[in-house]
Amino acid sequence: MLTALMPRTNRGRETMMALVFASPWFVGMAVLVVGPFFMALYYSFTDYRIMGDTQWIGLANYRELLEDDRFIKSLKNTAYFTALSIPLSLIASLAVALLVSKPFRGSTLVRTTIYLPSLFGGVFVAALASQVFSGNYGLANRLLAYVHIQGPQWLASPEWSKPTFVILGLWGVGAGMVLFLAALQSVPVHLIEAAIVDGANSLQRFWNVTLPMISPAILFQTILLLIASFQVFTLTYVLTSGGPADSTLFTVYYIYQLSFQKFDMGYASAASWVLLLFTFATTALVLLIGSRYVHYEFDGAN
Amino acid sequence: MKSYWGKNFSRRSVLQRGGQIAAAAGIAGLSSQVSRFTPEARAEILAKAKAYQDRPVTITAIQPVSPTATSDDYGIAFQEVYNRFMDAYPEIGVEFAYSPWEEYTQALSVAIGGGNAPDVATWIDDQRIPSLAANGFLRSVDDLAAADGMDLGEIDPIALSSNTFAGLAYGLPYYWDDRIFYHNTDHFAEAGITAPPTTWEEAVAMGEELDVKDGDTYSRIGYIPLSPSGGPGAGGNSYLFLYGWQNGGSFVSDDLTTVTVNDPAIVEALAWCVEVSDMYGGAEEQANFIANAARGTNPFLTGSVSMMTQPTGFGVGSVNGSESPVNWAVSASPYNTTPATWSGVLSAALPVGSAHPEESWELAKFMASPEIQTYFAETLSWIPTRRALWDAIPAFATDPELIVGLEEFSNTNIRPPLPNSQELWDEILRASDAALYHQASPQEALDRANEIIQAGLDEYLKNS
Repeated sequence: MLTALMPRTNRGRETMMALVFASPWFVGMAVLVVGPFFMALYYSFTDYRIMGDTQWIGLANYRELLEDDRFIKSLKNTAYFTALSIPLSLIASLAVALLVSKPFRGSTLVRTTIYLPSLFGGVFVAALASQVFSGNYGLANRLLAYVHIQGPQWLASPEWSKPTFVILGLWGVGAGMVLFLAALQSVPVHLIEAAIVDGANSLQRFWNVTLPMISPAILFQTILLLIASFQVFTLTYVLTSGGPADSTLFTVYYIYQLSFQKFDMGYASAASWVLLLFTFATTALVLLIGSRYVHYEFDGAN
Repeated sequence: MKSYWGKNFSRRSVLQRGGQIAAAAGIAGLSSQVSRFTPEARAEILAKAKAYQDRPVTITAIQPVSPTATSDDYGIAFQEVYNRFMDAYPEIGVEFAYSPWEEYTQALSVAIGGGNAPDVATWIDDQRIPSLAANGFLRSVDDLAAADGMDLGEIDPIALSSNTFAGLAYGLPYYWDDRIFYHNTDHFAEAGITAPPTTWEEAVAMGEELDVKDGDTYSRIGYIPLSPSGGPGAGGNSYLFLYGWQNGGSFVSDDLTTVTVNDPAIVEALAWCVEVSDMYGGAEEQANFIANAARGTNPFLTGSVSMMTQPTGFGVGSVNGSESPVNWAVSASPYNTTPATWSGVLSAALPVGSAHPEESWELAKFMASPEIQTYFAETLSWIPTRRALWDAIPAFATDPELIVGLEEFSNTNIRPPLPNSQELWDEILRASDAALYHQASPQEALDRANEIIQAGLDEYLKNS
């Protein structure tokens, strides 16, 4: 019976087998990603509260979002975090990659040590942060006190809580470092040598040769960081619950509150879609701007 | 043990355990640092639980405490209660399901909505029940009580009203507390103060006498009424509810249709809290003080704050169990115009969709029975919602903390059981924070909160 279903050609049989082996992924993708994706779109046009009837209300949720101060504040907080954390993360991970790009005694150990923290989850970072950034008792302010600087109240201050989150985001620079290390290894040596022959100093070589050559990796990392920043959740969930005074109320955390404290799933779905559109639009903008500056060596495109 | 939400200890619970489970619910007196159970007693209870297997019907009871966590007295006490239930009902088995407190509502709502409802939610506080009931997650117990001939009148009407939404009861309350005023007797003796304050004015004045400064910074603070939310604060477990009531305010109209959190008396109460907070450098400076003087823990436990509002049981359960216990005494909370305190209530409730509603009802009823409330009182110093039991519990006549706590029940209030009760709580905290951090005046912050809570309430009223 089964053999009757098998294609007669080798190529057909291989395709069939490939599909069979890949089918768990297709099923998972359909059930866990694509399905919820479109369900959330549908629910965003409804009054859906888990229990009871689901009522179609058209664009009402989206209209309400426009007047929702907390949602707007959450978007602003998220944008602030994103705008600050992406350049800092890029600079930090590139700087670290440059520092360890040349092999030296123990370089593998150093690279591994820098990369290792990015393997730990956000909860670990949060637990550590609660000790490091805990008022004057925390490590951060104790270190600052050595140089006679009165540190801020970090997580307890509405002004400092977001910058503290940005600093915590640097915990994951190891992942970016790995990407940039790979990119740096692929910079053609003959270009560097030509620049040296032309009398370029190290800064000029970096600016005019290295940076353009690794620009695709920078763009890729920017997009990864952009998407991750828009989804920041764990730190605020563990450390601040959106406080103090809503200063760390990021959009995904607000969506969580709408879903599981107010049970307003329809409204939360609409908020999710707005966030998705923001993410999509920002990513498209970054790609558009990035394409003007990114240098692709092998296809001749700029 | 069944674990809802996939793990026994949540991400947040790594940081926030023990008493904070209940602190988040407004029933913070439940923290306990000295185990009332010996390792042998624990082992015996757990071994006994394993022996109840293969019952014709097994129901699942979910709570945010675990019988296997050695620091958790409540979990093992609950297991003992289930053991007793299984002794009394040989046909019914009880499976212990755990969900961390921070994810309890989420786990419950998702499980119920997904058709995998636990049979009994044995630990729900009064803040959550109206909201869960209004959203269709819980079933009323009125019909079950009537069919069973159970007299709900035996349960204190105030405690019961915390679970009553749209005229129907949605849970059986088996425990409640109220807030009383704790002071450090050594600090009092040192400052020559002989009696605790009875008014706000006295509390602030005594607080200033009790302050200790080290240069420009406080190494000890006498009294601060209200702290920003989200961590151990100098203000203890008070919240604006307490001060609003103590100033003669009302948070909602008697018919529960009009929100009045911007009642002038409540605005005035918040303004007073901000004023006292500012005397000590404001909200951020308080956070610094907590981090420095109290090492991030409750500052009363470290002798860093001299006076603090906490729920009954805090002294025996937390202070005496801390690393260096301080000497303390209790009194009624100081007030401004109206003697008032407030209560947190724990109930057993029945989720919609239980496969065994009758057996689940038996367990809920058992939890609120005189036998089990007496067991909780004797084992955990929990105060029964059946007032008739109070006289029969010896400790209630001799324990100074409980004596004050029981007396104060005559002045107690409960948070209004609005269908958007969670929103009421969240917005009160948000308004308090906004005022304490000077992002808005007390009037502006409470006007905004009033608007949001009223809009949420109107939406429910429109649809009901």
